Amino acid sequence: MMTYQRRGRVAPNRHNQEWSGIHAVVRRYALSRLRHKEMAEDIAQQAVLKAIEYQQDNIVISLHALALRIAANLIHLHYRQSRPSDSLDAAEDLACTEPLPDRVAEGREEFKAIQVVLARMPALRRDVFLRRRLDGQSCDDIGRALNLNPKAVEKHITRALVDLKAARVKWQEDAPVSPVPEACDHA
Amino acid sequence: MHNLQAFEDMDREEAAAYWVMVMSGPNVPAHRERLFETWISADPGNAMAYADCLACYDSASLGEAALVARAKSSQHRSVVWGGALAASLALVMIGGGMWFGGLRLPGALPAEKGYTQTLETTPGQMLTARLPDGSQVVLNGDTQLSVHFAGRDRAITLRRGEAYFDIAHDVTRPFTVEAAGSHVRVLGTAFNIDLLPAGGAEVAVYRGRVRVEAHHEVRDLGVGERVLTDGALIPAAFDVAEMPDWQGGWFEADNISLTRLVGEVNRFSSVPVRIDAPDLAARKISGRFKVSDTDKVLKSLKQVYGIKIVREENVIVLTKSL
Repeated sequence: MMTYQRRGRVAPNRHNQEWSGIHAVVRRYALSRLRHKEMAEDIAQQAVLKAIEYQQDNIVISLHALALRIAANLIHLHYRQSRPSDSLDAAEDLACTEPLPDRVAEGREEFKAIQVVLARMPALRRDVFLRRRLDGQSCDDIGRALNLNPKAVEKHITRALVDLKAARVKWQEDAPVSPVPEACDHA
Repeated sequence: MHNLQAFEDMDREEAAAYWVMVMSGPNVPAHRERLFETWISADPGNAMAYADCLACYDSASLGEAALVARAKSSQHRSVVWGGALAASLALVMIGGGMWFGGLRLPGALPAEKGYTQTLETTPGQMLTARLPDGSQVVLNGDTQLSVHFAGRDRAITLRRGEAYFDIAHDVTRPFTVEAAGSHVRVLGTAFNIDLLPAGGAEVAVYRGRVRVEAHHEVRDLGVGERVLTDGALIPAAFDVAEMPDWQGGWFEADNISLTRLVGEVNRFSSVPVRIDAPDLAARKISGRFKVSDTDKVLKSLKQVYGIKIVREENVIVLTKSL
C-alpha cells in the first residue's frame, strides 16, 4: 500500500492511513467503471493526489466524496480526450451513440442487463429515478412534481439503486475484467 | 440526529444505495455529508459497497439506458413529455458544463493564498470541518464561526455556540480564536470554547497549552484546566476525557445556572426552550444531562427541580411550579 505525504509544513501521521483507505475505495470505483486494472490504479493515484492538494486550500467535509468526485471527473475527461472532439455534438455525446467499437459488444450486454431492470421497475419509481439520474433533481423537487413526500422519493431512489446494482454486479461476475475500457460516460 | 435512523436499520447494500442517493443530490447539507463520511470511514466493507454502487450510478450504460427509458415513456405520453426530453437534455448539459469547467466540489473557493469562510450549524446538527492547515474544528448545534487564513495568520471568530478545536502544530503560524471579547492564542493544541448565553465564554484545554486574554488580563492554561472569561480569569480543573461531553450529546452541569443548561439544550432542540422567570433563570443546577434529548432533560428538570413546563406551538416555556 502506498503512502501519501502532505505537502507543506503540516504533516500529521494520521493522514497516511486515512489516505490509503481512500485510495483503496477510489481504485475499487475506478476498476468497476473502467474494468481495466492499470488504468484504475492510475486514476486512483491521480485522484488522491489531487484531493490532497485540494484540501490544503479548502475546507472539505468528506474526503471520500472529494476523491471519488475527482476520479469521476478524470474518467470523464479521459474519454472525452480519447474521442475526436470535432465529431461531437451535444446530443450525440449525451446519448453516447458512438462508443468505441471495441467496447460495443461488452457495453451492450451491460446496457441490456440494466435496461431490463429499468423496464421491470414500477413506473412511478422509474420516473423518480430518471428525474434524479438524468435531470439531477432534488428529492424535494421530485416530490413536488409527482406529489410524493421527500422520504418516499428517497426510498424509491434507494430501492432502484439496490436493484440496478444487483443486476450490474451479476453481469460483471459473468464478464471478465477486460483490458479495453468503458467507451463513454455521462457522469 | 434523526438522519442516522434513516440508514441505521438497513443492510450494507441498502445503506450504500441510500448514501449514493443522498450524495448524488444537487445540494448536500453539510451535516449529512459529515454523517456520510462517518459511515464510509467506519468500515472498509461500507466503503467498498459504496464504491460499487456509485460506479453503477455513474456508469455510461445506466446513463444510456435511462435516456432510452425516458424516450420510450415520452412516446407513450407524448403530450406530457413533448418538451420534457429536450428540457432534460438541456439540464444535463448545464450540469455537464459545471462539471467540466472546474471540479464541482463542496465549498469550492478561489485558489488564493488567504480566504474567509463561514461555517454554521442549526440546532441538533454537528459539523466536523477540516481546515487547510490540517487542523480540525467540530461545531456543536446552533453555532456559527468564521475562518480567516491569510499569510501567517490563522484566525477564527466564534460568533455563536460552541466549538472544539484540534489545531495542527505550526510554530510559524499562530492560531487565534476571538470569542465574546476574549482572545485565545495557541500553537498546536486541542481545546473547547463555549459561548455563554449571559456573555463571556468558557475555554477548556484538552491538549497542549492555551493563552487566554480577556479584559486586559492574560492567563496560560494547561491540560485539564478551564476558565470562564466573564470575570477574573481563575482556572478550574476538569476531568479531561477524550473529547468534550457534548460530542456525545451530554452536558455535565456542575452548579451552573439554568440559563446555561437551557442554552446547551437549545443547541439540539428543534423547538426553542425559553425561561419565563428571572429568578428561575439564575437557579443553580447540577447533574449530568443528555442535552441532545430535549424531552429527557425537561422531564428531569420537572421531577428533580419542580420546574413547570408549558408546551406552546413554537416554543417550550419553563416557569416556576405553583
